[in-house]
Amino acid sequence: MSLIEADHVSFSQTVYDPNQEKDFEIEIIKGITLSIERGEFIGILGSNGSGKSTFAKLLCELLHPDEGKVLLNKVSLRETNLYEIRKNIGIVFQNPDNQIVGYLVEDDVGFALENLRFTHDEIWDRVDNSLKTMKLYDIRKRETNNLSGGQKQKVSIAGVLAVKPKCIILDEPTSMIDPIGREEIIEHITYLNHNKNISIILITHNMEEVLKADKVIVIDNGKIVLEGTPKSIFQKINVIQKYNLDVPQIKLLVHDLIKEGIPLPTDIFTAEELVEKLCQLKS
Amino acid sequence: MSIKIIDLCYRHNDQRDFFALKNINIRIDDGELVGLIGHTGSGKSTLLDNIIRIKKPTSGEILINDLNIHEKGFKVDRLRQEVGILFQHSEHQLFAETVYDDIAFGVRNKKMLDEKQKKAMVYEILELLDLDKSILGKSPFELSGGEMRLAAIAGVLIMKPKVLLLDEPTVGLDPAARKRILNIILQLNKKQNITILLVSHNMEEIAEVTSRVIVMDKGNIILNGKPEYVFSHIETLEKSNLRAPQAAYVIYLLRQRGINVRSDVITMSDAKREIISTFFKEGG
Amino acid sequence: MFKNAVFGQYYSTDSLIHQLDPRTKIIGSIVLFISFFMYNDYRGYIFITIVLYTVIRVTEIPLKYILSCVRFVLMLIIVTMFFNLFFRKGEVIFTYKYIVFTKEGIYAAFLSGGRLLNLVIGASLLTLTTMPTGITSGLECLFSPLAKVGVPVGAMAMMISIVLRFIPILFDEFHNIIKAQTVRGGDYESKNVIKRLKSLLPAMLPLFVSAFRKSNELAVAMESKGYQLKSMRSKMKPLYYLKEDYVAFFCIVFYFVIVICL
Repeated sequence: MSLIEADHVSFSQTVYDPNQEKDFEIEIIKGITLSIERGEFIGILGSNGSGKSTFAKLLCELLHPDEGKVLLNKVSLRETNLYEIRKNIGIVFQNPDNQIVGYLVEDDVGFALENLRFTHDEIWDRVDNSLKTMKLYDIRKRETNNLSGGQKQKVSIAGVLAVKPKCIILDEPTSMIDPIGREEIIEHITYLNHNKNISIILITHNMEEVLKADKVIVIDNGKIVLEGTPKSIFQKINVIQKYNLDVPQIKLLVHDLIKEGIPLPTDIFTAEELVEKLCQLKS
Repeated sequence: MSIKIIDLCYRHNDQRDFFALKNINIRIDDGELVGLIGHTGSGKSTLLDNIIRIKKPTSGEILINDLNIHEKGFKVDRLRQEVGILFQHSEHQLFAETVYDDIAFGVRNKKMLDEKQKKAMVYEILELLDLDKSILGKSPFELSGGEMRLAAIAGVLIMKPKVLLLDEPTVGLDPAARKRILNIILQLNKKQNITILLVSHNMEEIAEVTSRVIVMDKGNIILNGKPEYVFSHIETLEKSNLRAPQAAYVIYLLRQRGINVRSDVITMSDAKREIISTFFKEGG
Repeated sequence: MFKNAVFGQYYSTDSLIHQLDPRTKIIGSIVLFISFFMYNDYRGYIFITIVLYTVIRVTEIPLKYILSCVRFVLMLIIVTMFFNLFFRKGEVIFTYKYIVFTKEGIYAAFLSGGRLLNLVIGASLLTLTTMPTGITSGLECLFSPLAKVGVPVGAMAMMISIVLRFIPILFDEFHNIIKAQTVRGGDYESKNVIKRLKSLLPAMLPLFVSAFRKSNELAVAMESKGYQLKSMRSKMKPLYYLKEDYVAFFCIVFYFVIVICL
């Protein structure tokens, strides 16, 4: 049963053009239809300006579609209690600083729970569990200003996790983080999907981050242009590059080696896998 | 235009024991394109601040063209003009009403130049960066992220610096914008002979354009040499929370398995060549 | 460092005062402030100063640290003493060339200087012993009756805690912007103060733009976490009085009575 569905969703924005001195509409999302199942891990790839962040907000009722509708458990978001929506879908944004409200780590993790009017004991129970899952328990009394970018994002994820949502949307959560922090975040996200059965919608312009997804969608100019498993999408390297997305270096190398006649399988994603296959060929 | 840093130590005013920079010794020669890598907190930004005289060393010296920048009589104005710096997320410093005004900010005080000359300078920079003139009349805040960053770069280049310090110039940009900026960096170095110090977390970029790499960790320099040399020290890099370019990993792992590939490979194209030659050598 | 100091940054100890309810401390501070203006002679001053320093001892914060928070206001204190010393009319004690020292002048100088010093220390005590979130929470509680007449107490408290959280960040960004403008020839190093002030504009604008962008993104994030302006929220860290607070209240009242009598 699908958890969230986008049904022919379109969205436009009014922009003022100072040169022509009038308003005009820009279509940002043009008729997207997409379904996300319980426990599914979906990767949405899109370059800057593709509309992916707008789509993320449409999926959780931060924006209303102009046409079409978004459904949660088969019920339109418009007809769903806001409280239910917020309890079921959480979202983490790109900028680590601009989504943290709490002064201390534990304050921020409990912020959503306070808004949703959980009881005092419930809040602390959930906050403690969430902190432990995200390995933040030891620094729960630290000021949020004294954290690295990666730690801040973990705090935001912990805050969303405490609500126990069925789905977490992450809009480019790693693009402002250093490479090591990035890896940690992706590990946590994968863990939450595999071990807690939380649906994950990961929006990014970096293919490497969605290698373990169940399904990958490529958005360009407000429309879905490619859809399929990571394996099938990543075969189409030239198409991917056309859409201004980061192709993992290893994939490019494998692609080139295959072109030169080296018989390698196409579903190699990491350096270790490549070396393994090369060694197999030698023996 | 050379930079020499001798026994530089730096400690923040309000920290008694903690040295952000410890005995830094660096030499950057005229026309070099040097990469500077290190995890967050290793002291890279503090080092840049010291070079441009925003922070004062606790001990040690900084010489630009063999002149001590802290000596009495040193002309700070000249330093500001000759050593340009692009900070992280440079697009956040844009402020003027039009892009033209923002780019020309650096030369607005130059009394020797009239408006015509200033305009010509701005046009020259636009050509170098492959930007359209139509951008000049817009407000900086109307531009896309990548364009804003290019406008910020233009604002630094108009001072005609001989040295450029670039702090993560490509972070947060999509592949096309990154490639564009990297090409500009290469052009500035090769065609205009500008000495460049490039700070980045993107190891592939560093491998591709730099001729030397300096690695910092907790205020110290732990590696300083050619990219091929630095990136072959995978274990040292990992201990400092750094990664090497993917190509270097592939080579490293192949060598660990006993396969005889050259160790000085760091770019994907070199890795490809090396793997193919090894395989064809062995009879495929 | 400085960026975190409103008056004095929170200094953690296990003292009794630290453990008191923020509301108790806020009320105590207000009473203290009022009392500073209620004496006009040295007896009142000595009593209040003794009380103040007793409180400082109870907080277990080193006196040196507290005095270091005062140094920003030192100039102001000296200026106040100066004006009182040299420009008060009264019984002349001593003259040196054209400068006249009066008995009243000397008296007033010490009294006003001392008052100012106590004021600053008193103000710092609150922020030194209470976390910013505690102060906000305490204020929210104390002002909550106003909500019944339509004052958006909850929203204002939220606003204050967000500002407190973002001050260091904006301070850092401002600093970075100034750095960037300096290296492009902004006049922050000029000896001419006017020039430096004029150069502040190029730095203020990006800061404002940045602040607006941040608040926009933050508002969306808060909405995504279920925040609604007019709704009630539950409390992770509710405030409740302990018996130490009742003792403290008693002491505050007692103190106030004595001050009135003096």
